[in-house]
Amino acid sequence: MNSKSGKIRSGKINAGHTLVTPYYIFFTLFIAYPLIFSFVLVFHRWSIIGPLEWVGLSNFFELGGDPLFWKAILNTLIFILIHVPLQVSVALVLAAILNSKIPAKGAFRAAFFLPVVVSGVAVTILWKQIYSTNLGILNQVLHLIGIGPIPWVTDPSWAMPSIAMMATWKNIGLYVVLFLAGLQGIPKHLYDAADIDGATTVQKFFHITVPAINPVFIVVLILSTLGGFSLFIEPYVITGGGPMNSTLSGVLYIYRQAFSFFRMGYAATIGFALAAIIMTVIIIQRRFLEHEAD
Amino acid sequence: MRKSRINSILLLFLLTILAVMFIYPFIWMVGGTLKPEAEVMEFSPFGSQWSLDSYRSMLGKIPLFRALINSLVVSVISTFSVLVLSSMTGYALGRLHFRGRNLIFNIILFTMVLPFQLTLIPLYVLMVKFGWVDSYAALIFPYTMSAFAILLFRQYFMQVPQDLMDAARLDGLGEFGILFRIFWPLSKPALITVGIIHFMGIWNEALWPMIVVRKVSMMTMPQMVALYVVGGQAEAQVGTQLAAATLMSIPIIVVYLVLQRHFIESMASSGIKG
Amino acid sequence: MKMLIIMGSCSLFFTCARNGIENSDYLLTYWSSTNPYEIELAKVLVADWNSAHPDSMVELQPLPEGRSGEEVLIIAAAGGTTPDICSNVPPIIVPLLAKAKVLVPVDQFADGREFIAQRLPKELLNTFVATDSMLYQIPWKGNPIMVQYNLGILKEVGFERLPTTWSEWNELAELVSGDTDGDGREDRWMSDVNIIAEWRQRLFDFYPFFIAASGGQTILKNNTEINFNTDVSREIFEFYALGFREGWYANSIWIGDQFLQGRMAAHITGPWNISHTERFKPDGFEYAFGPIPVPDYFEGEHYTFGDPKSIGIFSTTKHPEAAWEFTKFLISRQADLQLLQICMQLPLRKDLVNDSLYATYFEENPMMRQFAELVPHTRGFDQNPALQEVFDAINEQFDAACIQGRRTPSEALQKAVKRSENVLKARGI
Repeated sequence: MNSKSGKIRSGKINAGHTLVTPYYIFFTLFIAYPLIFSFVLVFHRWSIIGPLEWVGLSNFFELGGDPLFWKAILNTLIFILIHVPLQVSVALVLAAILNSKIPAKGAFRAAFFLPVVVSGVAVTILWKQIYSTNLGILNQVLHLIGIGPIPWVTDPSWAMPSIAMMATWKNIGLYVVLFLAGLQGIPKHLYDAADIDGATTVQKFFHITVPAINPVFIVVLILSTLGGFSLFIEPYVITGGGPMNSTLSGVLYIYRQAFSFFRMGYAATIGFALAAIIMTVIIIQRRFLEHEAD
Repeated sequence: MRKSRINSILLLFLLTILAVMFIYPFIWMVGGTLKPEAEVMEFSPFGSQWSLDSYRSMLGKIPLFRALINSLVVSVISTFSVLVLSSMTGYALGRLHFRGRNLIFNIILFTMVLPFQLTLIPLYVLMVKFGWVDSYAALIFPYTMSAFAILLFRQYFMQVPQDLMDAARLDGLGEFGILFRIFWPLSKPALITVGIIHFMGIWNEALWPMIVVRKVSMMTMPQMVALYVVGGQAEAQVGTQLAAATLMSIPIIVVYLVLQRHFIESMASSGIKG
Repeated sequence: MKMLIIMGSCSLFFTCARNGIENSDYLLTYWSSTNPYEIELAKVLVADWNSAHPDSMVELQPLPEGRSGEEVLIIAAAGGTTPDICSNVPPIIVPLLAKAKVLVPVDQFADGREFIAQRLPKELLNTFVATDSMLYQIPWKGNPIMVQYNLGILKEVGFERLPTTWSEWNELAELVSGDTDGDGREDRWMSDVNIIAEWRQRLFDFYPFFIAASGGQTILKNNTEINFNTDVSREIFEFYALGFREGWYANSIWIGDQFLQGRMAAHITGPWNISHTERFKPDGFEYAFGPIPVPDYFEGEHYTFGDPKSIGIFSTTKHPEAAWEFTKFLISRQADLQLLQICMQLPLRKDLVNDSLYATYFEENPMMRQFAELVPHTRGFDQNPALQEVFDAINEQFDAACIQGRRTPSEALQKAVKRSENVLKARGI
């Protein structure tokens, strides 16, 4: 590619295009084509072998009446509604504590961040054993304070909340770090002025810290929510979607339809519906948050 | 004064308990792999005797080192590709003028919110049609670029003074030369940030390999370990399951302990920029 | 410069990506399963064939690894990389493959049906025929499911004979289950029902019981209609729900082989467990096999689930006639004997016990006789591409009604039927 001098002569226009060419290829192959094909698949029945069979809107109708789909959406929402507020609030509080006069900040920060780095698969396997009803160490500890064995992952009412707790444990360090970075950008004199006015810690927190942290807050909230909708490997490893499909997440359901039953058309339909729900939630979140920020 | 002292001590106590809650599970996990099977589930990480049976049993059943190599190959090549290709795109979008520049920028922004659930199945079909199933191609190609990286580079590059570029052009450097010889050395933080975040992300990725790879010799580490536990090969022996999880985590934990500051700071800076 | 490196690596991967090295010495490729005994058998058979047929040699390749045999074959079909013959075709995906014209029907060969009819009992053969009356698979082997009992435990509680009816089973369960070492926690159960709610697990509880209790029927009728909307299904749900309520089956995930460790009186399994038991049993462990229990009112022959596997000839083959000749060799009398000897699995052949060729084998392995006698009375999978989902529907309700005890059996059955009907309708069958 001996075109360096040629590029300078013919102007910057060509250079730009050349540099962006890899992206064009990438976009076409891995984003545009799949999107279009996904859309096409929604109207067909296809098991990946043989021809596509046109079925019109029947996948949509099936989706509407599919109790498992709605259960998966409900489960995913339960996960998000437990995991996100828990994670964000605890992370903010922890970050605030770490931001004050505490020794060994670095060590604490590193400790909280450790689970973030480890693979979700390893964490899930670890917690599968911790959550074991009769033998797990969590119930062993609780037994010492008189709390009976809790069926963390074998009871349909407990399973998804347990996964939400585990996910919080895993990711919270990241958000502590993000909040910490945001907190460190708040000018000290704001707090000093508040002290002079006699504000309590709680007042300072809600009137200075929280508003100042808003941009980070929005990012954290949206990232957490998007992450919540991607829930897959945890239910897959620990419960396989059970008990009684209480941990069946949206993505796990897509996976099951596509790779257990080989219903590509239907799986694509679920994907579309899920994406639509995700976009809606994100838009509502942003509207709400940006409104709050004013 | 007393009150704030007590407060501090209480806070420290609370933090310590929390920190223990974050670290002890890992200690227990590693300890469990070195205990006899019957004692694995006990609370203490120390058993009545040291035993390497869990590791022997697991390594005898699954070619974990092969999976390690696969993960390494895929993650390194993908990260390298993302660094090169995304910086190219970020540079073009940030410093060069050409028709359609804004359109591309907006498209990239749009793809960042596009949920992967939409494209998962068709992407898989594409891999099947290309014959890339069970190959490095399927594991790497869809991860050769990253919208997040492009945007990060673009932002970073926009801050480089124009004179440096002009001077370079006068010296006869073409765009590639400017990018790699001038911008890259100046952008170490961005490179490290993108590098670490992307490497970690793709190293830990399990869903995509599970979809496109079936051959045991081509599996990545998270995938192989996940299937080992779920697929019943571990025969419900807890020790070997923990051993698989431990071996899988050791590389990343070691890297983390050594490069801890970089990890944490790159995550933090990405949040701010994002 | 870097662009070049990238392009270069890309093309390198492109070429490495496809693993299709043609070997011109071999005429046919043959995939066996990954089971080590079956690989052993395949090596022997292929070697025999190749020495006798140098002009149509077969290359043996073990089935590519995967989560399930089904997935592997479907991916291969989608990518056009199927072998000429595969002897590990799960009958449950045959309808899917047949519909997509991936499998060659046996009817295409002059002696096709005839040859198979000589080997298989007619009733059993019909269960493998597709809705268009063609036979897309060659039924090869099966593992009739029976119950393995720990005779020591039975003697201990005073049970003289093996249970054959549900009441006898429940009676035994009551006696056997409970706390035997006085530590306040239950440590012995009747049997290990796998509580993972995956449809495949139901092949070892609901399905064999259904087949036995209904005298050899399967969950679909004529491969297209629901056949399990009956009292029998409800009764099976009630049977298991009772067991879980009473603590005869525990709602836990097991660690290790509980049956060999003496914690279970019974274990529902196939002949493959004989060699496993012999290898790992503790000293003094005595066991015997009995049929799947039937309802008290049941009269008739004993039927069970046969866990069959078939051989398939794929339409990508360039030499269908040669592939058929090789397949006939794979199911010849001699090959069937080697299947018994090397793999301890049963060929789907009528009159195994009466055929003199196998007499010595059954003398040396008396337990296998029981299984062999059951072969004509085994049932496999209905020929419907949506069958897996129907099983999933049943599995879902089995979980709800029996394992979790959260739904009455009748309600659960109704839901399973409803979902299955939707599934069958959606698939347009």
